Amino acid sequence: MLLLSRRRQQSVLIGDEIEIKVLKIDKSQVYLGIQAPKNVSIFRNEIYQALKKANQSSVLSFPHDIQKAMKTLKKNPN
Amino acid sequence: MSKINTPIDLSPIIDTPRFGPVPLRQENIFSFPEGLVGFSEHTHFVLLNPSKEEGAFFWLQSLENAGVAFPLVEPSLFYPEYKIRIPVHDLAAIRIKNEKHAQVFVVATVPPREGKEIWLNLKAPVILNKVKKMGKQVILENEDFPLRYKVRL
Repeated sequence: MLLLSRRRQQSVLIGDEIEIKVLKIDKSQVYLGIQAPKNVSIFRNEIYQALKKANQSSVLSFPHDIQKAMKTLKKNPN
Repeated sequence: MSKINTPIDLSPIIDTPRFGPVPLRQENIFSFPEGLVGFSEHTHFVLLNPSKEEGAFFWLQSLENAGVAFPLVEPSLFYPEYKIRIPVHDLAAIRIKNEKHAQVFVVATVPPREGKEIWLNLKAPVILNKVKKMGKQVILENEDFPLRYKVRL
């Protein structure tokens, strides 16, 4: 991993088109401004990992479980 | 010579563990240029609505790996107040210019052996372009929707 130290208002470039700027530094929080082409997706890593996990558990669903769930739903409509 | 009265379905077929052989009709095949989150290698899916009984449930069946399928539901059925703003670049990625061409689903999870609740991922809906037959799982980074919204049955 490349390590760089930056001060407030300084930035790094990734390639030609992606700029990450340090806007504000609090005690335990850093505010970043990110400029990137529209086709580049930017996510908070922990959200991305949680979504990945959610999708992984979704593909373990099987039709018979859903049928069972739907039957329960018909019995107890909200 | 006997006459054939029933039309023959000449669509190619994919054999799946969940649904058995599934005919691949062009109108049900969607390309996902970026795949789904964590499933980027899956870029082509067939959208199935296997039985009327399941009603609200659709399945997004991968064409890359027959074992991979995501249950999808229309959010309005369980969460009528689901109003989302899809970022412009996400709409552009699947070439949606007219919002009437978009269909919104959420990915469901049914925990096995329970039948007591289902989970809906409201944080990352699947958006389909019904006309161009493209799709994308959009992450609503700036909206406060739960990733696991539990529907008790």
